[in-house]
Amino acid sequence: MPTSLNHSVQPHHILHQGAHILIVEDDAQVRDDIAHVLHNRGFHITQCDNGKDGLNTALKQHFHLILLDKMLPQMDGFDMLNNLRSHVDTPVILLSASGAEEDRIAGLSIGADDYLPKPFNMTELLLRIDAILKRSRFFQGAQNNQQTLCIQDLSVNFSEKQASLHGEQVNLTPIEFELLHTLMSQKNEILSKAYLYQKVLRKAFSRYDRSLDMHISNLRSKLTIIDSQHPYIKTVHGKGYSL
Amino acid sequence: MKSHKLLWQLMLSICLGSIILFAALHHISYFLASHLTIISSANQSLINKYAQQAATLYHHQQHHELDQLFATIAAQHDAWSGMIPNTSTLVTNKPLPADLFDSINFQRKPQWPIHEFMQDVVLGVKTPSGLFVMELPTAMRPTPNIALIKVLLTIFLPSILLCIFCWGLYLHLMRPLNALKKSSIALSNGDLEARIPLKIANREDSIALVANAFNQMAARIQTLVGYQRQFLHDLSHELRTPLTRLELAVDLAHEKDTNNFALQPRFKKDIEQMKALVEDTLTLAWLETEPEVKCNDSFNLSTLLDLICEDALFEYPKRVITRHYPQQLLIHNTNQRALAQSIENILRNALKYSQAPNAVIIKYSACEREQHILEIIDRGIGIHPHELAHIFKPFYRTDKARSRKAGGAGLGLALTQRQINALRGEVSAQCNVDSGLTVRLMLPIK
Repeated sequence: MPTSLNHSVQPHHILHQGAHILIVEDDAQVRDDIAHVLHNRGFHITQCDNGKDGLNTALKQHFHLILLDKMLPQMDGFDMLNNLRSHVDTPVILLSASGAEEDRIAGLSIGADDYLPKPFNMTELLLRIDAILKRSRFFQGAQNNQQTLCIQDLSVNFSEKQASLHGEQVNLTPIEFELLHTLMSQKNEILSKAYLYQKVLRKAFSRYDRSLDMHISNLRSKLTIIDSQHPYIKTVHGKGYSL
Repeated sequence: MKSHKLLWQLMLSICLGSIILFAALHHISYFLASHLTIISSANQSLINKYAQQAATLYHHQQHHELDQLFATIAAQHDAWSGMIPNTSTLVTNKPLPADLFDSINFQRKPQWPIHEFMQDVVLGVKTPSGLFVMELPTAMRPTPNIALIKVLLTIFLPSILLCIFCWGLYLHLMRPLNALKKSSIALSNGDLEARIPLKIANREDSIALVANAFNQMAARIQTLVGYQRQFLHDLSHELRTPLTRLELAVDLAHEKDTNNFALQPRFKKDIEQMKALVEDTLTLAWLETEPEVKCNDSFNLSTLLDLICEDALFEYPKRVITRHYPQQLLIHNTNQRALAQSIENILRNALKYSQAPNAVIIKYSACEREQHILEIIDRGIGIHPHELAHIFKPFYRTDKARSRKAGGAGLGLALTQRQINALRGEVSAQCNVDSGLTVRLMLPIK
């Protein structure tokens, strides 16, 4: 669970140095606090307090990420997102104080990349920002993927979408393959669940969702059939997975 | 059939009413025709008296007196009279007037009706000595007010009867509608006890259906409002505890500056508790109003159970969870997130209310290839059987749970029940014979 992360574990923020983030939020206190924390971590911050200004700003300048409140004066977050999506693909994290999980997920269907239920804590927010920025960075650099990755006896071939262990082919679903590939290409790094959801499942992480864990579990058991000794994928409780 | 009862009632009453009305009108007109056209009984007996006198006089051959009688009748009634004895011809004081030539042969008895169209009527009374005949005097002729009777019979009487019928019909229809209106207004003014009287709801016709529907609606609203009030009351109560702690911690921080840092975990813990409370409440409220959960996940239930057990054991490292379920348990058309949260809630409760070395058991059985049955059995403190009915209510905590300071606001099982119901499943609890609790989940396989 992301909530158990300490502030001392600051995932990859150095990689995002200089990323430009737009905060659209009408509560000045919340906006300033977020801006303050993000600024301290090396992000460039632009702030707007209503949907109309937010939309204009987002269309005029280039941002790496937009933090968007749902309830906004003049133009509500959903309308702004709808407008924004007909022009640009800037990643958006929706900050929503309304309704239950299923209700908030509705926000994702109109083009948000992630959502964060209010109230949230900074660690959670930083984790989500990290996941999104990392994902978009990876997408931009996707062509740099190595064709074949090898870790000991485990290898994946990206162009053929095939994995093998001890020379034996492992039959993986596309999602399992992408999981394995992601874990291998960032070997020895703890990949947060939020990031893996974004990168592999292409959806937002929510607290009780276990689809990622189930895919990992299936992937593990497929690897264990061939080599029961080797614990390839490690679970880092409360943080994520690593290989 | 029940819903058409009013139609049958209306049809029957209008048909019967019309038939009765027409029959009544017919009888009344017949009665008037026969009674109002009869010579009054006083006049009848007067005529009969004249006949007796004439017969007696004729019998005693007192012709002079007989003539005098005829003259008296003529003087008093302006009417001709005479005597036709059995053996001889007409005896009279004056010759038969010319206008009576025709009708002398069609004598009418005094008790017969005299109709309006009859002209120059001659009455005849049989006596032992012969027939007494007499012109009907104008004064004795019955003169009913035909025009008035016609108006009464064709307009006034049917109008009155129909008005009475309409009034009855109106009452029959409007009384329940008025009651409905009254109750609706009372309900909208906030009187949640307002109901339509049983007398109307028991009528068993279309209006009763409306009345019953209204009563059911009112009862449901009353329950819901009561539930919401209780819910709000409980929620604010539950929020008050961590808020009080927070406030105290803030005051404490003011007093001894040095300890500021040590108080941070307390802040964090209370905030987390309030957050979880609000989160669960929102989900619960959402499930209450919009119980549609997207059910389109298919997966292996065993994998999910394994994951939940692993997580739980991470939190309770010294405990044992005995798993009795097969490796492959495919489940379709369900919602992974809702199911995971529900099972996790139940398992965490089981671990929370029982202690090592007692294991928590997860037992699986299938029901005729239609349902997965999952039982989570603990050997913990259990609950009193009378509390079984309440543990799925929001904010309900058993006394034991309260005294244990176990944390949690008592929303877990309420949430679980609503989520499982949204997945077309059922959740129930029962006390174990020895100790602890068994929570049973029944989930449709497809």
